[in-house]
Amino acid sequence: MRPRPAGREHRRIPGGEDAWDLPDGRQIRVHLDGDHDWMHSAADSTAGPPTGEELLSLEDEEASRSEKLRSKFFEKENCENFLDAEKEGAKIVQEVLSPPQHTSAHTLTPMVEISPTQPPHADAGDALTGITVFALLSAEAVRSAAKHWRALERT
Amino acid sequence: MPVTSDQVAALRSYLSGDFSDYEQHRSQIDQSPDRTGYMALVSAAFCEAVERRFTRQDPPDRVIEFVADVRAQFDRDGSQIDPRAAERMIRAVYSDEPVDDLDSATKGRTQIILLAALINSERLDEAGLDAFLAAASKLANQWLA
Repeated sequence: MRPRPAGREHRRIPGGEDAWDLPDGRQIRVHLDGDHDWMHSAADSTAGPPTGEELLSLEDEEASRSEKLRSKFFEKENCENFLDAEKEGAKIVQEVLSPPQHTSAHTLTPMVEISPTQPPHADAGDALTGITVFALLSAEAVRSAAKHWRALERT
Repeated sequence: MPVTSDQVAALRSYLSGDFSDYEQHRSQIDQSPDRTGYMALVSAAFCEAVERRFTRQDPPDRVIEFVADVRAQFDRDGSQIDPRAAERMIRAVYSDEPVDDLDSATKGRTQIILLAALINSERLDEAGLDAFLAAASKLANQWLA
């Protein structure tokens, strides 16, 4: 049983065809041919339905195209290498079409921080060094003075 | 196993320039045990895109010019796309040009870059991109069957 298009004028034409008049004036005819319904409009009556041979030929062409492309472009066993490289390639495209935000002019501008120089602070280490130096210089001065005094006594 | 909706979504995001969505889907694909579907989808999409752009009747210069343009845009240091390999891969879609001597890494990297350039230049709308991906999925599923 063939479905009848809703809201359209349906007529039965002698010769095994059903016809529907569409609201826009076109006419659709359906011809029962074996198990298949071949639909065509009256305005397109010169282009007949594809024959079984034509359909088989189209299927063969598609299968042949698919097989030809599969043999050249689909190597299941090299999937991992292919996909790793594919990911790299996608990254290259992404970097060109959508550059990362951190490369913006704002962040590329050099930032110079200017702040007053702090005077050096004296710490415990500095004080200890100072006392040690002072003690050594004092001891050396005392030794020199004593040496000089003894030389004077001998004369 | 046929192409999954996640795999189609990943390629769709990539081709429409939504790279954060692409990365999300792509990482899910990486975690999936069977990734052959995505490989088939990428290659099938490449074949479909080449067939839309080039025909057997085109002079060889058309392919050479296209690859030169793609390299100028995406391969500024000249190290990512082998121009001879790229031209051969394009011609292999519609001619008897063999590509079995090209390694799978070259094929993967070159195809995904050329695919982006081919689809970008078509300026497809949402419906156009869906139709393109439907055709690519159909071809990929024929390969996987």
